[in-house]
Amino acid sequence: MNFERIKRVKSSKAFTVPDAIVSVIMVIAVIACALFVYRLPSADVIISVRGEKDIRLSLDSETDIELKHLTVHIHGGQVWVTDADCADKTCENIGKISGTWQRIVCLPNGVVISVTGDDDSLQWEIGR
Amino acid sequence: MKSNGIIDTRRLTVLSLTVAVALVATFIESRIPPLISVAPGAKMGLGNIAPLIALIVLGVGDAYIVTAVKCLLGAFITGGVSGLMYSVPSGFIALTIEVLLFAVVFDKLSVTMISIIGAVVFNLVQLLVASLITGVGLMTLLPLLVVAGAIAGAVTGLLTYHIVKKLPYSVFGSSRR
Repeated sequence: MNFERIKRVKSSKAFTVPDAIVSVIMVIAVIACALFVYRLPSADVIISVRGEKDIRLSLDSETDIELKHLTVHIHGGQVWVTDADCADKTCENIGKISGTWQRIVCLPNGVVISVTGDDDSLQWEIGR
Repeated sequence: MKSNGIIDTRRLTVLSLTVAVALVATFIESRIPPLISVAPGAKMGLGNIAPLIALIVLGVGDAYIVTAVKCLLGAFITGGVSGLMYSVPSGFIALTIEVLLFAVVFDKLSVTMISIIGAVVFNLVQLLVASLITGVGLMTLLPLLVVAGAIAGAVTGLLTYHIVKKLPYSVFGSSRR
């Protein structure tokens, strides 16, 4: 047992002044980051399977696409997934997305469905 | 931890209890639908109390043991063994950050803040791994996951702080006070 540390934690405060400073810095960083990431208008849907097969469609295309592990629906400016064969159904639970800031991710099958703006150069992406 | 080669029963008990509580919390959480639908996999992470408590009460080595066991058994409990790819790097890097923060800035920064930073780092690493595996930039999720991590970290940090504060010394062994 680390009695010295237990004692220090017991006598410490739940929240300190430096905590507040760090929190403010974090909030500013998140807001700056959010402004940068979310300023694109919605336009296209990009479906990517394991980073290889990219399907690009207009958000207004009114179609259904059957992939190996799930079905993607694009109707009325919204995108959603049904019939996923994974166990957790995270992608189905996300529901319908329509904005640039939204993505449907199916990690077990490596499928990422994202809504993107007209100007790709503004996309802040890594891993490509 | 240092008991002249003899296994310290109290340490073993505290270690097992923390892991057990973490796993139960993980299980219950996996049965609750996601709170924020936009960020996939965003959850409270109540199980993350365990490594933090182990770090404070037992020590650095035991905190790593708790993290390893929690990742492994947690993956089997929630049925997502593929989740290990995300939980192992995130868990260990976040814990390492917390260990360093505890060693260097504790007292100035509270347990709550250290937990918040740990949770944010956890989410950042998870996002990075997800980006590398799917090969797609997921950075539009970054602000959301940072916020989600901060909220989750604040809750787990405050819980950890109050648990350690409220538990009497006799729980940890009364040989030294």
